[in-house]
Amino acid sequence: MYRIVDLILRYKEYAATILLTIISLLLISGDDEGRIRSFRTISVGIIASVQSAFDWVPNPWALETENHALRSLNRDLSLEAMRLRDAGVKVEELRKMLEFKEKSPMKLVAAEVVGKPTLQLRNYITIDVGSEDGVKEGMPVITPAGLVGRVVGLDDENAVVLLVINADSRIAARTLQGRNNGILFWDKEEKLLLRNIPSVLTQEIGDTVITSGLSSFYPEDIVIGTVSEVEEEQGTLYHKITVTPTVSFATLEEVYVVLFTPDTKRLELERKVLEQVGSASGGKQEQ
Amino acid sequence: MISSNRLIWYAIAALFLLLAQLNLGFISVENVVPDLLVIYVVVVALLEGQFTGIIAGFLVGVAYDWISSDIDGTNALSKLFAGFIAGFFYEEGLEVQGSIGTFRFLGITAGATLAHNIIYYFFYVQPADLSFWNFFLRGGLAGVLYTTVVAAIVMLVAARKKSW
Repeated sequence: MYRIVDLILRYKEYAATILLTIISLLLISGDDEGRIRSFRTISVGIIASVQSAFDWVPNPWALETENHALRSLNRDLSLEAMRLRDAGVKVEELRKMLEFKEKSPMKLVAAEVVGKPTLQLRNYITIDVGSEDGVKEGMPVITPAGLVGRVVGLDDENAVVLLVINADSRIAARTLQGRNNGILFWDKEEKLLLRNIPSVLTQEIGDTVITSGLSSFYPEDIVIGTVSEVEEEQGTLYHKITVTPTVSFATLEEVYVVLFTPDTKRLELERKVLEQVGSASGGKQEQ
Repeated sequence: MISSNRLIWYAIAALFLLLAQLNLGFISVENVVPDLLVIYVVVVALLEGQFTGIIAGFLVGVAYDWISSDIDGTNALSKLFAGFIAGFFYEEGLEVQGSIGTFRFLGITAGATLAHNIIYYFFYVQPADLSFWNFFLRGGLAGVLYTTVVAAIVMLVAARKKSW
């Protein structure tokens, strides 16, 4: 017995190591026993409060990581905010369009602008509706703000629209208050010009310009723009009236096609009469 | 035999280091923190001998396991082995300056921390389906390096003292 005790004392380091290793392994195998758990709960609570007292101490590495994460989050949120802003504008536009459709006495087909081809000074848009949707050539295209143009070509699914701001565009229009009828042209910049109104007639600035009943292509009373300038055209007896379009052509996204077909009989009659007048005057010249 | 006065100082130091070890987040680099308790165990083993180092290692390890919610026994086992290894380098009669205030202390700390981390991570990854070597190479070796760097501060302080 003494010899065993003596042996243990002589090699107490090894004995302690073996004994404590066994205890440690027992602790590992019986981890989280009930009696330890309650002690642990209390100690973790105390430690947590001590840790919270040291929260103010900055960690440069952690700050860098946090900074990086916040930058990334900021970028994502900015993108999200931009998307939401964009969606908000879109929703507002669509709401106005829907309201307009419900109130409008005309039959309308909604369309989205899918292309904006430009050939020199000839501005067109392509829309995602075609003959399958009941669209026909010559039909006017509008937005709640006013006249956009008219359909000049189409297939089953798409249509090409000649815009009001096109060098080939000629629209019979009149002023709402002044009731002066004229022809509307594009000035090849941002405005429209209302011509053929005699200078003896009075025209106020700010008057609304609408399609007139004399138009072969457009139904009456579609808003086109407002009179922004009235001046005398040099060397003529006519006014030179500048009109600002109500439609923003640069931001055009959603439009309506008005299911309105021009009076073909009337157009045919006008064409025939013009041909006859043309041939008669030609014959006189020959004589 | 350790005097009761020194024993109290060792106990106070152990308590202080236990609390400090749990609040080292502010000096963590990529979630790696130095192990102050291993440095403590190495110091005790070098100043008081292998047996005391083993006991000190086991006691601070058990205490740390309980208060840190770690797997019970893992720190006790790994730290007692740190004390066991460091204890081999104990030289009776050697002053603080000679035992801790030299580069030898850094080597002993690095070796003891390495042994400590191997044992610790071996048990640490057991409950999870993790690769021990992958985990050890990333966390264990970085921990050895960081602990040795902090031990250098202890060495520089000890190099100026003849006794505690």
